[in-house]
Amino acid sequence: MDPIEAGDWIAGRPLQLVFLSGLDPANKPHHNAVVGVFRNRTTEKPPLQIRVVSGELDIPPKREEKGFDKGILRREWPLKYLDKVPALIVVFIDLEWNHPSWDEKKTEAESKVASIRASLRHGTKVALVLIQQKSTSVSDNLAADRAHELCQACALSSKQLFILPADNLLATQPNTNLQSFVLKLESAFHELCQAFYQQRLKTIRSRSIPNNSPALVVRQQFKLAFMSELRQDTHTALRNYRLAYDQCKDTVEQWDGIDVFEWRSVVGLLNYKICELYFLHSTALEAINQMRRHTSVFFLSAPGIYPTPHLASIELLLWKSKQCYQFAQLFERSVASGLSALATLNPGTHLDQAASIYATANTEIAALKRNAPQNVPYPNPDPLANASSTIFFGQRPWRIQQDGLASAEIEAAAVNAITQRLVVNHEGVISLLSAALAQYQKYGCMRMKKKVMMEMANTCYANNEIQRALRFWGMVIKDGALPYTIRKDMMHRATWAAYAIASVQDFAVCCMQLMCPAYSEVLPSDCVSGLMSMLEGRAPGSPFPNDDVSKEQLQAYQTQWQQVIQERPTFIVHASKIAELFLETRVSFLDEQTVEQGTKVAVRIELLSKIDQNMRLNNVTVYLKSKKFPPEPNQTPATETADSLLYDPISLGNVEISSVHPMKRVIMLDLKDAKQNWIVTVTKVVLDVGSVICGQIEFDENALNRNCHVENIVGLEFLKIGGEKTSITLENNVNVNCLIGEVTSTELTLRNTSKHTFQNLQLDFKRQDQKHTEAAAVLFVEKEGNELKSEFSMKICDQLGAGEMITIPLMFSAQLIGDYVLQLELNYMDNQHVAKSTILEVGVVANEPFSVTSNVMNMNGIPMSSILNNCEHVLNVSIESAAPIIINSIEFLMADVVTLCDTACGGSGKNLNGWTIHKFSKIQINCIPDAVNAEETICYSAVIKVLVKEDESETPLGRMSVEWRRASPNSCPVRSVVPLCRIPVFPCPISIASCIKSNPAVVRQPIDICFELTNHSKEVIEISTNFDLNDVFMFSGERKITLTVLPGATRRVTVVVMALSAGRLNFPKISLKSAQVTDQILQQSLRTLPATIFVLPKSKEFAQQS
Amino acid sequence: MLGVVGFFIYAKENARLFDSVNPRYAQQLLEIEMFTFCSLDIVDEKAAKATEMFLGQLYNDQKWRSFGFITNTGVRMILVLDATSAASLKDQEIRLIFKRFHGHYCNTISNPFYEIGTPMQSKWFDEGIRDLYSISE
Repeated sequence: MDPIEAGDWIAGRPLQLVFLSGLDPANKPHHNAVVGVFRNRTTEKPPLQIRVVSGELDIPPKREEKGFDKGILRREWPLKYLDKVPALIVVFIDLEWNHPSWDEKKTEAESKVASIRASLRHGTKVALVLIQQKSTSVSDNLAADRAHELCQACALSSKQLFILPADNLLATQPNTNLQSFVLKLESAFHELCQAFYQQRLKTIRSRSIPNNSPALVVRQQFKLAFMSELRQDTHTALRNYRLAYDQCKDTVEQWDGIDVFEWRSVVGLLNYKICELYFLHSTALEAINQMRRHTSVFFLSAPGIYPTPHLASIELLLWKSKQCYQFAQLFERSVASGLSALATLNPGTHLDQAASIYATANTEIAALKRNAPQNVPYPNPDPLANASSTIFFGQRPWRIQQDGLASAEIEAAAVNAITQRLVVNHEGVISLLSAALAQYQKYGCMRMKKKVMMEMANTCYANNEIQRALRFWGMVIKDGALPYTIRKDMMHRATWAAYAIASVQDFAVCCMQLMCPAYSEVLPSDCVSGLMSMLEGRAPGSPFPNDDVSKEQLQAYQTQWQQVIQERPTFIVHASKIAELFLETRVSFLDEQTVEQGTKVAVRIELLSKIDQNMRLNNVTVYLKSKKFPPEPNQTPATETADSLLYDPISLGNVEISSVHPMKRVIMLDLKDAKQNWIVTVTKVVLDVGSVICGQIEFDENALNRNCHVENIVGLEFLKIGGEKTSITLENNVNVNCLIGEVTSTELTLRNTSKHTFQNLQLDFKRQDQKHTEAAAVLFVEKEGNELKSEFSMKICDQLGAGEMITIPLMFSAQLIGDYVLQLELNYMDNQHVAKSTILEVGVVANEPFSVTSNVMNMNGIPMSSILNNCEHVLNVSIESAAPIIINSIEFLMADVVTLCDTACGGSGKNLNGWTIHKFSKIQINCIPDAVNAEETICYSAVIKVLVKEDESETPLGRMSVEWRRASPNSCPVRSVVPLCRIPVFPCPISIASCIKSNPAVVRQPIDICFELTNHSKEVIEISTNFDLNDVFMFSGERKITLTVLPGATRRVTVVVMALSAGRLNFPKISLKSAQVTDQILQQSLRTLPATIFVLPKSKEFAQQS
Repeated sequence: MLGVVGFFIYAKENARLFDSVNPRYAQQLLEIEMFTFCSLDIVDEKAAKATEMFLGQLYNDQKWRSFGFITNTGVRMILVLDATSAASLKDQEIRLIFKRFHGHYCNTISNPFYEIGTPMQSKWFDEGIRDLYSISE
């Protein structure tokens, strides 16, 4: 028996039933308006189901307790509260407070209420609504009195009496007013309904259950739950449903064997309600867990033996399938109303499970049908006739009003009827699988989708829809990620299926796949000979000779094949729709990536076979196409034809290939009519096979060069069509190495490579067209010119014949270092007087000619990181050459604050009295040229003195100009100006200089040394000097002197020493001390004194003189 | 009897590196293969947001249950259990099985002659798996 459906009531949410009586919408327009508004239900309104009744009420009387009343849930019980027993009956009466015959009207109302009350059985509430036309004309007191009077008469509380002002019911905009009145009324009705259901709940709960009978407990809990649902208390409802469900779960062992079906139906219903409420409460995980629990408890339970073990097992399977399906439906509904599902948790898995259980049920049904006795008539009377009108939910229809089993004959007839009614329903499985497929697709579970497709194929196969099954198999096998064991199994089935229905096309596809080594190793088959036989017009043998097939069956297949072959069918195998094929095709172009328009290109075709046997191909046809690339997105067919060009197919004739003899051919394709920037590709290769049965194997773009790494392809997969090649080329690649600033000359040799004469050749250099920014800074020298120009234009010649060459000189000076390309534009006219131009590229590598480093030293040759103002230092400039150059002259271009001192007398003035320092801001050294080789360094020095007024962090010393030329004949001189270093200059309030008056200094002769102190500050400085005595010199003079030096004045301290030994001696030391100047500065200024003094040995002449 | 049905290892891109099915279930190889194949869908989804190596239960149907484990290098391990067996393994026990399985895997790839990313053929590994089958029985 199929699982029992609960009925339509289960579909929606239960609503509170309210009857409206006393309304006459047909005759009274204002009643009609009221009914219209009440009937307009929306979700935000109170959950009422409103029904207008007239005349006699049809309320079912209380059920009489009868015998044989054994069951769990009455099928009709929920409908009783949804359809028949209202929670509230509302009586509408047209009555004004000041009605002339008030008393009569009151009595009429009283009798109406009384008659309604008389027909009620279940404690239904009653309410009275007075529709009044003139609400404002009566005083409040009268109205209150009369209302009280009416309530008394009708035995209603004041909360059950309502007034509906009807004076504006038929006004122009009646709805706004009426709607608000009706909404208020509905809320009041809803409250009365709640009271009714509360009262019913109390009644149900108070019923005692004898012996805690499980069925009664379940029934009571179900009733409580359903009432709570009607009361819109879904949480209590859920608790009661769960209690009922738990009761079933706990008593599953005690179920009577013959009532298992009924119990299971009830459990299914309870589970459905529980899951529904969980989803309603947005606790989807709870719902899923409940389903899991349900599955683990009830799905694994024993099927039972009633009515027969086999039928019980089938019934259990069908029930399980239904459970999964119903849950999936709930889940899907919940997803539709906003729940988000995942790959792990989605309705698809449940649908899939339902399908797989249903498929098992189908298998069992088929087995049952096979074993059932044939030609047994369907029993009469039909024991299943009352299947839809049983008293209890899940009750066996032949046991209505029977306690326990029916008579043996009836039971046997029932088994017979069920067996005959059961049918193998493959369509049901397929529809479940299709639904699962859609879900898996939605949640991106591609592997599960494949599984479902495989199951669909198996079901179609079982349903004898072989073609459909083969199609599904084909789609699944295409996936290379599928484990081989599964693919192998599917191939096995698919091949047998194709063989059995003698489908030439499918058999060819299967055989071609099985011929791949990957399959042939794990699934030995006779497919090579089978395919060959079929192509030659013979019936193929069994594809798997090892399989156990009866001879008669094989014979039948062979006969069928013979018939098919006589019809000479043809087939086409699309290689791209198959994962693997025993043939592979490689195509490539043997040319440059970009080819010229209208040229001929070589196309290479290679066919590889994976089988050892020779395979004869009647013809190999290659289709090529050139098309615009990239194609425009929204192309219409018309533009597509305009943007592409199909070439005539190229036939290669018949070939024979095997694994050791692949076919390799090269064909030539003329790229005529293709436009520039199009690409040329091979669109497909078609192989014609077969002598009697003819077929084609088509390799389209997706199947060409498949299973082959790009690096293994000989040549290119596609070609691009470029423009025509230039006809004037540079004969040799020109690459110039030059130094910045130097004028370099090179020669360009142009050759006319075309077969025509060109005229008016002109060479231009345009700054803005350059690819490199460095190239734009290059300056050119025009022929016989003496000016550097940033752009130039040169007329080369009037005419250049075919194959002729011309050499033109090019002189330029690079201004920026780097490796770049000069793009020169060559313009000319061809023989048809069409102006053409081509770009000639000249490579330039420009380097600095030399690098200059400069530093400042003190008089003793020690490099200084900072210097003192007003003191003499040595500027040292090193020039490191990068190429062999000749330095003609250098010139120091000092900054204003820097003074160059005359070096003619060793840096210090000779005459102390008339101490003259030649001051220059510019000094030119012309005593060179100095030839410097590459990587050699030459050094130039000068004595400088810095006179800075203010404190500056760093003082730039100025620049140096170097006039140089490359050390090669005919080179032009270049003057480069380079910056000198910057150095911090500290203020020096007092400077000290020394001067040796006795020149030369001779041993044991007095040497006069004069120390000169100059005050550079604007204050008087008092300073004391202390001459340090040592063993090297004898000393005469004042050792300690205190001097006062006025601003700008100079004071001299002269000492006389006598050197006791000859040679380079330490300079006599003097130390300074002053209150105004810090010791640090004094120390620093002392460092400007020479460190040594050279003393000559005494000559004979001197000795004699002395 | 805990019903350990099989162990499977897949590389990061789902290429199979290792498979072993308990000989007890050899008859249902096809179903197990298909079930494991489907479990990979869930691994793909869970792998992206995994916070630990153990991925928990992946997929279950009437007959089988699968659990997942993903190593730090993205190698996926799948354990298939028999859903119909009476005793069900606790989460902790399944973690322990995976830990040992992972240990065997690490030992196997420590072989200097093994090339990472290729199918694994190692008698030590097979023995380790056999131990796991026998322990779980």
